[in-house]
Amino acid sequence: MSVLYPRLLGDAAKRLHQEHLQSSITELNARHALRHPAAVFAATGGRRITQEELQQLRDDVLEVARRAGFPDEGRRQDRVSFDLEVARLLHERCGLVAGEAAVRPIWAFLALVLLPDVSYWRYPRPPGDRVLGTDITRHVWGRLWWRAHLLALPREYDRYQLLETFGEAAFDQIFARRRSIGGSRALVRTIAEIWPAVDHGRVPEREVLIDVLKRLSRWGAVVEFESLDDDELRRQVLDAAIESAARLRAQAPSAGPRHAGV
Amino acid sequence: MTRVFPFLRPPGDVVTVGPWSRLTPDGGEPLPDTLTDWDYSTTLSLHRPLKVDGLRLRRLSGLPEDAAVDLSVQWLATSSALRGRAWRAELPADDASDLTIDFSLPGDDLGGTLELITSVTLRRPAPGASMAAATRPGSVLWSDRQRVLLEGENTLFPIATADFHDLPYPTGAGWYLHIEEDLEAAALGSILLVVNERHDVVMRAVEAASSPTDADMRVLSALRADVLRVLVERALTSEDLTEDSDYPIGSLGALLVTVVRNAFPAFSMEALRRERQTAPALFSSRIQEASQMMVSP
Repeated sequence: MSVLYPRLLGDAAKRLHQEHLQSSITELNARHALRHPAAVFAATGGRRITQEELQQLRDDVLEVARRAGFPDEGRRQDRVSFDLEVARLLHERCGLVAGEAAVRPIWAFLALVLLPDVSYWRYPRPPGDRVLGTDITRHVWGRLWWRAHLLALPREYDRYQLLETFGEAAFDQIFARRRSIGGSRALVRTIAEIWPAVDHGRVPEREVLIDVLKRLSRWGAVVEFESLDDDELRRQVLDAAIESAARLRAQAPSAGPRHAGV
Repeated sequence: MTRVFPFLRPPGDVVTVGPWSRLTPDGGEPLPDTLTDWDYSTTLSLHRPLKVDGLRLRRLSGLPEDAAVDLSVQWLATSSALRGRAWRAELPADDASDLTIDFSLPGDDLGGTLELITSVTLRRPAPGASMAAATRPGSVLWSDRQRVLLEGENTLFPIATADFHDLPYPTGAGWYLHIEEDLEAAALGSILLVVNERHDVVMRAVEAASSPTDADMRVLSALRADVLRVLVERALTSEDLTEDSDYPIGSLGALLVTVVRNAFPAFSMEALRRERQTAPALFSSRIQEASQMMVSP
């Protein structure tokens, strides 16, 4: 049964965000809560998360944050590891199904009520979409759950081994285009699987990825990727990546005679 | 939007599809347009008979008789924007194959509108095929789509109760229909009806919704009319929302267009916008009529 989280609706979320922007991490730590009078539960669709479970989730995230330097500023690399660890933690322990995880006000509750100190530490003075329920692809916690959901392997011992494949900016490209590449978890996982083998030369990884996604999106208009076996899907995605990387390398002004293929 | 396929495709009648049906503990039933008893814990058992002329299909696709071709079903859910494969089998090279699609679909990744896409695709390039034939594995030679709205009780308009003293809404109001701003987002999850716990009459009616008294029914009727009014006004105040707007299936924008079309099939959105501006009282009466406010009991 899916677990229902409190939903912090737009107006209350915006007000809290304005207050939090003026507060220090220490003040936000004191202001965190397991409930908020303006947060509501949907009446149906699963069971309500308990206060104990919310406390446990907060404790778990705090522990990971401390390892990454919280409440101090910390190093950039520590925040990358923090994101990866929290993505796995949220996906494994939140008890959310995808339909519920698409409900944006639940992420506003986590960012602004349960974890305000960690949210504003991860993104100091964040623009609204990092903490409000306006855009999951940008949300401090929502984007991590979805990253794990799209990349988790179905039956592997290390289900989350693909999480590290892409940097944040690169994965944002996949997430933002998930509708145009069909929301296919098999396709997203396959892109992640073949990615380390792609030689993008001096062309930034993100540019190659955008080109691959556009290419797959074009092919997807006449090809049903979900009908393919894993091997064939891998071959087609690799073809797309080779073509994109080769084209962009040839166009790059400083492209030298590096590797010919992937 | 019509897709242009850069390869030969057979006419649609090479496949004759039967109806989708859903297996339940009591037997089978035709798959309805809306599944009212669905929730995330539901596993759908779906079933569909088909008759395929596999030889004609291959011939008119420019493929040799022994080309490897698959029949498969993909699912697509609007609330999660996810899709996956539900079922696949090789399509025999016979002139009249009777096939049965049969699979179970867990509810975890589903929600909103479920689209079931039945496809015939090329499995691998076929030596001896026509120059105009499909070559890329997965090329869609034939397909068919069916949509089902997954709507557990109150799922599309989930209801929450709260004390309005704690919310930025008038303390004495009975309810507030919260609608998110992003018209592209899934409708499910973008709309929430919040009922004021301080308002005894409304709370009693909502709690008794499955077996309401006459008094409760009048309250619920007023509530339904107001929900319709808020949705229609939300649609009309979004200037860029028109009958021709191309919002994704299952999105808030698509839902608002459908609500207006169903409530006022005889009016264009432009006409309704004009009337709302120039004759608001008349517009209000029109909403009452469309929602059948207080019509019964």
